[in-house]
Amino acid sequence: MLQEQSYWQRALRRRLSRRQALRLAAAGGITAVAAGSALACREEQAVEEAPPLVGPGPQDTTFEARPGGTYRAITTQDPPNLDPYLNTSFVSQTFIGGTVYSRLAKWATGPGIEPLSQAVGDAAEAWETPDGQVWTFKLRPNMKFHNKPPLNGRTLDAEDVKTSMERFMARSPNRGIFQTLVDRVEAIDPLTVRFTLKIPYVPFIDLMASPQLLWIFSKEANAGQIDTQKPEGVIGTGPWVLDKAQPSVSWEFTKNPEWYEVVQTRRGPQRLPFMDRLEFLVIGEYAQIMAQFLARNIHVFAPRNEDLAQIAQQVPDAQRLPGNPAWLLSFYYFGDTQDPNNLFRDVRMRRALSMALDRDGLIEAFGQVSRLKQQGFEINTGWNNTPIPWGDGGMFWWLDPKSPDMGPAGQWYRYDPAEARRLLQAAGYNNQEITFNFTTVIYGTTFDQFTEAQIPMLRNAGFNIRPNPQDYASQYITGTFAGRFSGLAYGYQTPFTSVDEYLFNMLHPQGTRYAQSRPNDPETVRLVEAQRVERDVNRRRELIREIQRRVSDQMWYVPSVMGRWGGMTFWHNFVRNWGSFITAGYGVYTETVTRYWLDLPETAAR
Amino acid sequence: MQGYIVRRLLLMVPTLLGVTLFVFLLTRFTPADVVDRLTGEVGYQDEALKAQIREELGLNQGVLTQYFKWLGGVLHLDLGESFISGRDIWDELKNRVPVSVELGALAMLFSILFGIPIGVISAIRQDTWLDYLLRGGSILLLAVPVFFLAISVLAVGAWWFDWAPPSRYTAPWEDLQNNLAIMATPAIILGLALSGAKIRLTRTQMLEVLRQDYIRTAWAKGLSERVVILRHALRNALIPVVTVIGLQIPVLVAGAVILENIFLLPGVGRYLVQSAASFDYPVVQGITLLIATVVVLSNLVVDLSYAALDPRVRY
Repeated sequence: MLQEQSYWQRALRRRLSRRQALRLAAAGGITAVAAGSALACREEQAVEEAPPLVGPGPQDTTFEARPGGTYRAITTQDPPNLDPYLNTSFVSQTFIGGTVYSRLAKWATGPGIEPLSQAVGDAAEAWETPDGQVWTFKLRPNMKFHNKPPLNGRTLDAEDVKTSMERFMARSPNRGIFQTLVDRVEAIDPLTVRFTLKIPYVPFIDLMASPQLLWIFSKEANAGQIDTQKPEGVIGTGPWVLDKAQPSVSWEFTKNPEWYEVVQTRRGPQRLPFMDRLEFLVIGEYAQIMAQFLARNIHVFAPRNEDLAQIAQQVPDAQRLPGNPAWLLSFYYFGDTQDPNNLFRDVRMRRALSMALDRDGLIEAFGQVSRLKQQGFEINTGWNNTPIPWGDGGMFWWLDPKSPDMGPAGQWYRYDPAEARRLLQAAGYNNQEITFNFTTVIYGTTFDQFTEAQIPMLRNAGFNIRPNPQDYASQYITGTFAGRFSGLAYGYQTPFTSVDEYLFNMLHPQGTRYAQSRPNDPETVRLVEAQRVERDVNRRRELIREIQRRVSDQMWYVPSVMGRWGGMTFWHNFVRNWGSFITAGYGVYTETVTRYWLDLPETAAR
Repeated sequence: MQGYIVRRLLLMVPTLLGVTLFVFLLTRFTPADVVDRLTGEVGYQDEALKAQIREELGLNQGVLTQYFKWLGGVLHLDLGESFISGRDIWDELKNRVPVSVELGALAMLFSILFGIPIGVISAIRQDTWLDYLLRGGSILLLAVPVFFLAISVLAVGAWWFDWAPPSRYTAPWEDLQNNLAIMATPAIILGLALSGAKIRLTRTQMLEVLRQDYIRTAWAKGLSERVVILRHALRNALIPVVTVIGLQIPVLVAGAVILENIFLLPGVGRYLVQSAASFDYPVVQGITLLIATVVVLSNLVVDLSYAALDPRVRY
């Protein structure tokens, strides 16, 4: 009865809205309707709260799973290239790499498992390393390439892995990490491949599980006998088979009926993926994505935070899950801090900059956190540490700057412009003009507004800064980002795939981003090297936490909080297992979506 | 007439060459570099890889060498391969041109069928409430940007009517009903945007023609309003309108670029936007050449149509 009542209340409200819309249309045309709608939406948001969650919630329903159906989602653009070795775009990595191809390892998902914390086998069944320097992988027997010519379902072997690594190191923009690490790769026998590294490197398995690096291609593809840039040449061993490629329309996949993972269900053992098809509509326009979700043409939607209330009102039976942002560091850096003429050589200058930032204020202003919480939405927020950002993918390693574990270094994160001014004075800063370098446009409007919002904070703390917006391609990425600038710089760090890449690249003199601030601390370098060879995960974690404390104390890189507020993802009410198998990054269609199932009647159009 | 056509066609050659050279140089001298795009932030310091990619793409050669090589390909109907996707540009365009042509044709047809009659009605009911309403409407159509109209339609449809346009394009020969369903909304929106100018111009021209002596003579002969308006007045009033139709081809292309993106049509405009954003030079060059050819040819067609509409015009 209660449900009926609320249904009629909803229907009545919507009918009134339609009448209002028609009246507005008659009075002033469609523009007035648009304006009226915006006002009406704002009004509704102000007074109404999000409806309570519906459905089974984020629980593991694998045992009840029924196979079949088509899952529809979107991609905002076509994969720029169908060969994920030839570009670094997340679209190619996620929608081609992460569906069609396997890695040696992947990230475990499931109830209680922290995203990206446990590597498990993908193409490799098992691996061993006696010393962290020689790694031997045993491939799954009978793992087959998709049944498409010319491979026609042939079995994967060690030569495929070896030639993939060779091609990756010859051609991928991501090859730097392997070039510094890998000495040689050998196919020992058809099911055994051995990597010999130049140094002992314990996190090597993390790199093998990374969904941005070593996707496994066939030796024929690696030899150039198959054109991996054409849809017919996209042949891997992953859970999804590219079925239909229609650029600017859709990218469609069928399940790989021979994928290796089998789970127990009420109906007996069931091979994953559960769903028969995966379809990505290419929709770049936000309003169109929203329209398609409301019309139930797509099954999942992550709206902007300002639209959460409206979506929850409009689709009250939708299921929703708060999500964390991706692992991405926005930060200040100072160029050559070993240069005696660099103002930021003095640690007090760097600490003052950190204390000038009202991190919570910025998160509140840009993430609308309080308002959304008042409306009943759970929104996660966090501060980046340095150099480890907060976000999905690195939570296991990240040390909360607000926590007591930070020790005395936590004080430099406090927002205290008065103390910042005192530090500047103590450092002998006499109001010299400081060039503030940053780039615009490339990272989007919110990033640009966020950068602008920090400028008055810096000035309020006593920094005499001159903003210097730069063109991304010709000035920023080739000059400033490489450490060639004077003054102060702000931007995103490259989204690295593993915690070691943040540590090594930013803190070690041999790192690729070291020049951004040139930290001068032998003890930090020792700790960075030590965590690379520490085999006990908890001890390694403690080493990494200690690095964060040391670097925070010195503030070689001052972390900001751009984008450090979560959002909300909505699924229509028949999608199951969406909240129990969480991963982060580009491997989502292997690690997570293979376990989704659609709770629809057998006879429904699935 | 034949001599005129030949002269115009010959004049197209330097025009198109000028366009190709201008666009080629523009893409090569912008500060952005497609190789930086391909290597991304991760590989931007890998100079060896960047040199390798430059060589693979032929970007290590001189600019004029690159231009003439590309031009040689164009003469053989080979537009080359996309720097980003590695796929053949001509193959891609073959799939996309029909989509854009269909959208453009439907939009133009709608704008003619909608704009000209409205303009005529507005003229023959001059200074009545209907005229004021139609004139106001035409000014509104001229003033409202096409993207705003499109997004308003989407938003109103979604919020109030749970409606969304079809999300998956199908060719007319595969499923005509679905094709028209997905084409209708963008074609009407683009047609409305194009019809504002037509309404205004048709009205003005009709008012001018209706004051001519021969129209007074036609009334005096006792001809019906339908015959006077449609047979005697409209034909002469349409000559400048036809010019405007020709001049609207670039507007049509620009509108199509926006609407193809909003309404999920896999047309040339969408391809152009994607390619320009990723500095995919050969694609941008190929599409620009295609659009330039269409615009130049449409101007020729407009000029030739004068002769058909006005017997006094001879070439």
